[in-house]
Amino acid sequence: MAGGGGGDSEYDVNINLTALLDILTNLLFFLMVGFMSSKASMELDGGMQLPTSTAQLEPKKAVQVTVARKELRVEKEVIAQLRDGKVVAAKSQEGKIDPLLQRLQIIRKEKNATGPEADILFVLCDKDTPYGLLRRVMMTAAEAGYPKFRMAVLMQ
Amino acid sequence: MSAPNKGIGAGLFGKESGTSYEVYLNLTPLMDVMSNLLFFLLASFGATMVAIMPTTVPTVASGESTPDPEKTEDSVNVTLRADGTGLTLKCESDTLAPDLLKDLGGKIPKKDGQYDYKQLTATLKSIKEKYRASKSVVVVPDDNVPYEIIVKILDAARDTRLVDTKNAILFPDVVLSGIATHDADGNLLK
Repeated sequence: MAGGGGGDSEYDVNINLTALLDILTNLLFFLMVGFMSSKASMELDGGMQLPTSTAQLEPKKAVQVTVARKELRVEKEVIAQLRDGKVVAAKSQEGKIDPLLQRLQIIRKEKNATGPEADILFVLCDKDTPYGLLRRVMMTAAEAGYPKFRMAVLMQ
Repeated sequence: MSAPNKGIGAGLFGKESGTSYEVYLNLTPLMDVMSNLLFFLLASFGATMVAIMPTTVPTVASGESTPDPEKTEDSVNVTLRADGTGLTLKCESDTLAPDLLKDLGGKIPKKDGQYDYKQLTATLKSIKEKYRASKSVVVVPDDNVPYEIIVKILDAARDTRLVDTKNAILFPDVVLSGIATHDADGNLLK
């Protein structure tokens, strides 16, 4: 360091970053705690968009079904492919989606849950999904023992 | 003459001779990492402002229904149909005569190609004000109605701005129509 200033072009300035680091660490800590405590985690596809709503209820954890633009998923597993709002190459009877029915029945059997929360499904659905497809998903879920739904929406 | 008081580890390489050491820890890389983490966490926090809207599909009771003894007020069940031309409301009740209900509801045509949500809320509000115990609305959309429009209809039906009741939801029980496969106890219908 060139003491006393002068004609030298190089200055060695030591900024005390410790205080700033303290603030950042605290912020990081609170954000991470808030992130961990969120009751339901959800993963949205790149192209998937949820509709906006005036609903204010907080999401709670439940078995998650995703009706994306191109695929139908239960939790993170792809159950069927979708094209133009219809299920591709999935056998169905009486309007139900067989792969979805089987997967949900397996999950219900595995969890063997009882109580008021046991028959609730958390549904993430793209905003452009036609009701015909959503109705089939809901009908199939009801057949598998999940007649109640928590429809995910974005807060306005 | 005594030797200078060296700290622990001092003088290992024979150069340090003072009693105190000024250590400059380079915190810049740590700051970089933390700033990046903070940025991503803040970004993802904004993206997860998700709420839920509770709905059900209709279920059929397996046995005969028994009237609720605590239910003293008359209530109506509203059926709301959404098709290409507009919204149609129909009211039904277990306790009221159909003649009393025929003037409630009616057709709300589309306005500029969009459903008239304000008119829907106003109509539902007038029904609720007349029969305050009413809670449930059955929404029957056409198969080609997008989910986004259904959510807007549900929002209009669940409006919280009632005239004299703060934060009360207009029709809290929303049922999306479908074919019932289970009874009220969750048993599979055969």
